[in-house]
Amino acid sequence: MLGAIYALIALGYTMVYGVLRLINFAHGDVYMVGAYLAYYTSMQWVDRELINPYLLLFGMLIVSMVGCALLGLTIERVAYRPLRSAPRISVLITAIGVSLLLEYGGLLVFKTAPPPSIAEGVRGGALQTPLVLLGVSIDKGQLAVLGVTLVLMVLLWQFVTNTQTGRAMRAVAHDFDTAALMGINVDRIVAVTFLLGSALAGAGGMMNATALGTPLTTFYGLLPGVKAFVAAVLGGIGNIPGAVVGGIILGLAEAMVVFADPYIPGFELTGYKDAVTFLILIGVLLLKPSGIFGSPVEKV
Amino acid sequence: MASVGELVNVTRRYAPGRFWLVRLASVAALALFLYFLQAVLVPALPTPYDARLISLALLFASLAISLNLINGITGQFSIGHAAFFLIGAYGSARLTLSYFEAQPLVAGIWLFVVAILGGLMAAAAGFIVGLPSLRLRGDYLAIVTLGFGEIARIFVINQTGRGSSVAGLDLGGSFGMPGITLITEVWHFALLLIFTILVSRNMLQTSHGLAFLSVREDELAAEATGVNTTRTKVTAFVLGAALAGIAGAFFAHFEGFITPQHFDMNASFIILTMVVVGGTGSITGAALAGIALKLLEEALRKLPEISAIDLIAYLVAAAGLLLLMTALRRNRPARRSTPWLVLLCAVALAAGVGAVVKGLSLGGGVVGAFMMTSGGLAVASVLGGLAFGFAKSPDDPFRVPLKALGYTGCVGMLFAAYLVWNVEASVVIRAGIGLILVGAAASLLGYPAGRASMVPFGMLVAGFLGVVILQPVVGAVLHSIPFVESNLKETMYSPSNLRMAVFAVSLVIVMLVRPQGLMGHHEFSWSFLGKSMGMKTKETAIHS
Repeated sequence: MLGAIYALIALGYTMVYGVLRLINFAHGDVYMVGAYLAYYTSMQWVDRELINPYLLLFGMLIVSMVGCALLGLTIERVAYRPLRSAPRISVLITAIGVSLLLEYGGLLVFKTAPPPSIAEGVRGGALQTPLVLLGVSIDKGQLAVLGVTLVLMVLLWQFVTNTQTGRAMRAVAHDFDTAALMGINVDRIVAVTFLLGSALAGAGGMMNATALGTPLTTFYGLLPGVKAFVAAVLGGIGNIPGAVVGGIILGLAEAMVVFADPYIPGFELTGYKDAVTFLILIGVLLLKPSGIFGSPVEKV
Repeated sequence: MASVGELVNVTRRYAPGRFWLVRLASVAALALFLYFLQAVLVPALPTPYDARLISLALLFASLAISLNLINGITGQFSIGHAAFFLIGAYGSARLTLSYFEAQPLVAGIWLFVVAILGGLMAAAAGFIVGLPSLRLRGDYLAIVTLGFGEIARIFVINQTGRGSSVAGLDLGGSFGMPGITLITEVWHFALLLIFTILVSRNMLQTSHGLAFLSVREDELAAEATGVNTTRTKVTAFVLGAALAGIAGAFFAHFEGFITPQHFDMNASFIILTMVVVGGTGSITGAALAGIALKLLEEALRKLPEISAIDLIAYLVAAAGLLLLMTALRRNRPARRSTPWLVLLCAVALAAGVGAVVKGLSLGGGVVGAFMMTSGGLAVASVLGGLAFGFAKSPDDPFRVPLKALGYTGCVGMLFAAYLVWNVEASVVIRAGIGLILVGAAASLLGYPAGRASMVPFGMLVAGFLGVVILQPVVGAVLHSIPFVESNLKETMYSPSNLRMAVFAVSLVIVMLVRPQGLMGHHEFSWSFLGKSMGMKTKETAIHS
């Protein structure tokens, strides 16, 4: 479940990194904005109880994705494009700056929200009742998250493999300069990449905020963002199926830490849940820096 | 080859008497300076807060220099520097809490003992982090250091002395460690800064330091010429970490109470900002940016509450000007003055004067000072930069008026420094920012390359100023929109939330305007100062 959301964010990281060789630190904060957009959308509608809860959920998803896509486009245009030819470290610092700006600027715009019991009607309703399948009980809301994630991923995969823009994107990722020489409008492709990645992050933010009910703060995206990057590295950065697999492995690893906690007497393991991610990261980078699905060529 | 040896001997002949005399004199001067600082200057400060400001500014300058050793000089990319700071602080604090009462040493000596131990612990951690850098470059190394920083912090949060602790270690968990004996004084921080600068600077004079630089410039070429790049990188990490660890120990015994929040990702980013803004690779730049940014951060604490509409007006004005400036930058004409430029200069001059007047009318608060400063700076640097930059060609028709405007601008900057001095803020902030202004005016007036490179700064500060000028207009427009007026009229923002946002914006802008940082790779040197003063000096060093 959590893995699916990590995977969604990781997709944005991996696509941007593939095209621009840039760790987009602001990506996690785009995810945070997505969660807030969903929250405010639900606040607009749910009080009036005019709307079908399922339609509302769908609307929240759309608003988050569109809003985040626009935000991603703006960030790319204002902060990253002028630095296209600058040293990569400068771009990275700019990314950190944009991230801080979104976090602390967001502090002014967004209120720290209580656990967004988004659409109480929905939570109390059908999506919260567990579904018992072959003796395993699964939350229906979580199933919905998995389903939406899968649909988005299939759509993305189709886009990247079967459309002309998708082919151009892969060409740019393969070799930026040559692609430009071949008549591909590189600026447009980069913009599309940011648009898609940010939209996916927005979807992830919306679903996490809705399904998990953790309190919303503007630092909401910090840790998931970094972890999603780890997922992207784990799967082989620049590789789209790799990001999905990496995200799911990471989600499982965290769940396993919590699961293993009661079996170690006298020691609380749960607190180290977040540290495990980074241990995995360091391990991966030391043993196989190209990731699980990465090309065997040493890119690092 | 013998001739080279002779040359070296001629310039630096080893004379034991003189050698030791110079060193003895330096140490004596240092001791005298520290004594003067602690015994004369600190008691003369009006409030204890001032002493605290000085301490923190010195501390962060040291941290910036220690990170500069890794990021700037060796060209690695560490964004988890707060972890080393944390290890030094927590390590030494734990030792003090456990053993200080039971041991015979007096507090002053004990501090140095734990500082060295804290530094060693941090150095060990630096060794561990440095090892992955054998295989990783750039972004990957960055993310590993970030991860290490988080691991260190999560580890501390879990050391509560109860269930989740490793071997029952008690570091206070997320509530922090109170009751650390207060030992550190201002002079300790001054000593730390001087020590850090000396280590970095003297390192650069040795073959090891050159190896650091060669790894930064071209790792492959360095390896081909026989530099052990692996060892060099790990050394840089260990050294930078050790210095940060010592700083951490001093910090813990200065605050008396440390929590994991002191050392989170933001702390790392702030230190990184200092290094990058100061100029990655420049010790001078890191030190100056460390002091200036820390003081600025503290000054921003005193910002008054601001209404939402005013803030949005500022943001809209800033965004508009930023777009305008990017457009201007793209269509930058040939480096010759045109009537347009003269007009621009005249407008900027008028705007600067307007800002100063507006700042004066607001009285002595920080906002007024900010306006006055940015006004003076804008006048100075736009005019100075443009004027000196363009007045170089002798056949330029506007040479004389431009030059005159440039000098006017420098005078404006000095005037801003004078205004800052009269503002109701802590004496340390006033002195620090005023000195920086005077220094900027001096370098603008004196240093030839400075004049040309002031143009982007001029644009930057002119942007600030334009925001100040445009803001009331945009604000009035916003107030006239009923929807905005009815929704946001009551909303006020507190300054504490604004601080980091201002920090972030300045980081992005500096990167957009000058990606290599303010000082670039340059260092302060006496010949540089001499040139600034207009003196003719022999070009002795190869340093650029």
